[in-house]
Amino acid sequence: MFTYSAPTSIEEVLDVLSEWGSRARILAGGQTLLPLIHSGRLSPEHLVDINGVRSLDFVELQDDLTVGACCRQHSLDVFLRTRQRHSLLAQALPLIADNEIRNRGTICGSLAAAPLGAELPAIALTYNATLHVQSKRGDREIGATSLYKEDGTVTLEPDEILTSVVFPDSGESGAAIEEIRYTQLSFPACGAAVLVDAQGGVCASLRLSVFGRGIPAQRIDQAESLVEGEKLSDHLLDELAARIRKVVRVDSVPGVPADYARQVAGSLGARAFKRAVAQCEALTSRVQ
Amino acid sequence: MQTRTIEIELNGKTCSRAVPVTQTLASLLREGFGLSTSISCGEGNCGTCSVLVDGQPVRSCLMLAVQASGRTVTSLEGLADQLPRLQKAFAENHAIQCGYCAPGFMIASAALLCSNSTPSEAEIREAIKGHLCRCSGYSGFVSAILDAAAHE
Repeated sequence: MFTYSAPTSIEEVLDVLSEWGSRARILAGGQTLLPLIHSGRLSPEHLVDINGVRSLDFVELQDDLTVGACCRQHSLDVFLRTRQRHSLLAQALPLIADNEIRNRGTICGSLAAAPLGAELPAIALTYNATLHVQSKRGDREIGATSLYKEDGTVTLEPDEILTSVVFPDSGESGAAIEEIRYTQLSFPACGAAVLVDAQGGVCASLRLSVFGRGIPAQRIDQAESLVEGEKLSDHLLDELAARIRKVVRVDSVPGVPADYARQVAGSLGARAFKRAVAQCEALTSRVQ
Repeated sequence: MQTRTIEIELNGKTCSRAVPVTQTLASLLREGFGLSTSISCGEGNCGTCSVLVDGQPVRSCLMLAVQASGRTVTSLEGLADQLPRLQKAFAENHAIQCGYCAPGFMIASAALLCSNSTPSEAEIREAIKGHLCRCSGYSGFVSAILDAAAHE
């Protein structure tokens, strides 16, 4: 049983969070929060609904893409479709649940709640997005790679709110996301997201993240250094998959045994890398 | 228990009502207004409770009634001229067996046909993928929606 408030300014939201602390939860889209409450897994004493704070509902695209806390996944999906930018994010959004969930669910809510298997934390890690966080104690900026702990949970304090996220213009020309899910609506068991810059099949830079129900969202730095400066080949793909399998942190969860998660993370990482490199080639040949 | 008075435009009529802040929109529609909106999992997994809010399909179990304040809500009953065509197509294609999931499927179908009057089979499957039918009549739904689109 919770009480409810719907402030109309960010200052009031910060007041409520400061007063209630960990007994309160922020309600934006509610697509992660309300299932937790309805299933009894979470019992907050207070919900602070931020949908009345107009200044949090925005998308802004300069070189970087800034997304406010109340921006829906569906709105951003539509926004990016017409602009041919931030290709990795644009590929990931339609994979989230279904259109009814995306009509309500927010980008920042998914990043802050970070349910295991969600795509967006891994996407934010791959871009190393910057998160703007506010509390009554002050404002701070945090990189996605510092936001997520090893177990996939976030380093936000109970009195803090994620007000916006900035996805930098990656400059990479190839992007791909691959995942495996058991049913149409379930969170993926395993997934991998990559941003690649390659020319003539030679990889100049790679950023690779893996995620899944059994894989806390994480960057695989050691895989990135392995392929940089190398030419795409079956051998390189095998090596990349093996490296991911060696270093990935997995948790055993029902239905996703740790060995399986490790194996599949490697395969999906290599598959996404191959597809992203091919995208760079297609782009190069179009330009020439 | 904390309550709030909300005003919604429900199926074309403006309604004002005091609701508990913990009540879901699904519960308000079914128990408060006696509409056909089915409630099943309560966690957004099954799609039986889907309704249109400001014309967009959403799970009404994953929205608080207070959050619908000031918005337009459409349940199956409010689909008006679309409803007979959908009902006919669903009946003729054997898309309804026990019928419990039908309100959600019909809302998803109506939303799809509003935005895309000639959907492909793949687009239909994408639009209804969040809806569960325990009688497992999925191909019936697909042919029903194709049929409804053809008779638009």
